[in-house]
Amino acid sequence: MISVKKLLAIAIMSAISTTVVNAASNEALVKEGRKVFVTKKQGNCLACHAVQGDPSIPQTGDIGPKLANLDAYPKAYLFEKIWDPNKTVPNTLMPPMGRSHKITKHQIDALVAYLQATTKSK
Amino acid sequence: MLKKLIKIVAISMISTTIVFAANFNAQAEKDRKAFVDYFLKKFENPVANRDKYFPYVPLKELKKDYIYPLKFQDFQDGPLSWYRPSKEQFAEINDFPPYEIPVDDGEELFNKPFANGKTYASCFPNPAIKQNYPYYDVHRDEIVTIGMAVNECRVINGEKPLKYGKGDLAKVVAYLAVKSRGKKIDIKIPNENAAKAYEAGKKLFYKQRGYLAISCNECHVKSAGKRIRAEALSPALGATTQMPVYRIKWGGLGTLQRRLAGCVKDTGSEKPKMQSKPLKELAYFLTYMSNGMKLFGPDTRK
Ligand code: HEC
Ligand code: HEC
Repeated sequence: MISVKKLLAIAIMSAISTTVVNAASNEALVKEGRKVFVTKKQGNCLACHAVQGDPSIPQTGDIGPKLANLDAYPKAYLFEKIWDPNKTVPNTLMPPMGRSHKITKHQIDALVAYLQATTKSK
Repeated sequence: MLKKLIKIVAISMISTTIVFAANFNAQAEKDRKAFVDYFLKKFENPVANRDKYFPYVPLKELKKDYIYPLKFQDFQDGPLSWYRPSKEQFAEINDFPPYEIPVDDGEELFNKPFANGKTYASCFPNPAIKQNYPYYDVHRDEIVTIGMAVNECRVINGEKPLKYGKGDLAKVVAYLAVKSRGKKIDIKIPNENAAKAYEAGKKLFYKQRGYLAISCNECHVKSAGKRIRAEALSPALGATTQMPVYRIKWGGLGTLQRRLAGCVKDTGSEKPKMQSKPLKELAYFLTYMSNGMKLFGPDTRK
């Protein structure tokens, strides 16, 4: 028989470890997102965007806006924006890299995680 | 009385023919004027017109790095026309222009007799001809590029054609370009099929292509005067004046078509073949848009 106390302890432990795992995997996701952002054969987002809070990205272009305060947007909006920017801005110069299968859904999740973690509004 | 009437009819017939003849380039002229106008306005005062044309370029950069106002002929400098850091960097590189040796080679090739004793001069007695290429040959019913003209000269003289885009062919073209410096681009649209070829080229220029769904227009019109990473994007106006170019990336000369093919590929499409119909049509359209601009090729590029 497991005591209530022990059960509680297990429950708490597992709750903590889930959080820990979540934090760790989010950190991995953020890291992956940055890589997608700066890698030419992946997102290549730096061709057009500078990123607030990440000045170490070299030689960003200025066709698109400097990405800032993106934690203010819902995740789904950012996902959509990257999946197919033509939906929000019909004539945009930004390529639909999700829709055209240049990057995967998972990579877009990673980009969103990276952008929200990095471009925090004050 | 009757005589008078016939005269009127005859005159009106003549004038109709003239109007018709002029009509083949009516649309192209309309396009070209709008094109030139857009670029002149865009680069008249980027600081004052930032909201309209350069919303995401930091004001500091506009003030420090942009050269303006740009006049029509200034667009001959391509990506160097508006971006001071590039212009200064290349002015230094061109102290000893890397294209000089290939141009000398081109001159030598031009004057070296073929096996039959003749030279290129038998086809090009006046080498200052680049301003008229590519042209629409109404008899052959196709666009003839300067590279084709060079190779056809070889073939009628019993020589093998050269590989397009680079190498010896680009060297001979570069020599012709030097001889044509200062001549104004003069592309004509002589008949209906030529007008169709122009329209086909125009369509390619504006078509979103490849997995990036991006067009020539987006990078070289809408985004001209902005940077994609560290590269200053060249305005499509004047894009052909400085060809062929010596590119440091290539370590040698390349023709207009080599450049165009590279850009098509970079947008995520299949790389088109040299002298293929679409590539020639694109070149025809693009060169027409710079009509009236003085040639000054070759030049040096990244
Ligand atoms: C060829 C240029 C280009 C590339 C490449 C590009 N973008 Fe954009 N982006 C733009 C432009 C222009 C805008 C502004 C117009 C719009 O919202 O579509 C924009 C807008 C955005 C916005 C909205 C910003 C806001 O504040 O509303 C986000 C987010 C964004 N881009 C993310 C990305 C990501 C992530 C990538 C890479 C996967 C990327 N972009 C690649 C040009 C580009
Ligand atoms: C994603 C952006 C992009 C697209 C789309 C694009 N280009 Fe380019 N192009 C560049 C860059 C970057 C350069 C090098 C810098 C410069 O000269 O503009 C360049 C250079 C050129 C040059 C050489 C200009 C010079 O003076 O050396 C020509 C000509 C050109 N492009 C034509 C085209 C045409 C035609 C298309 C469409 C088929 C096209 N480009 C599509 C980015 C692009």
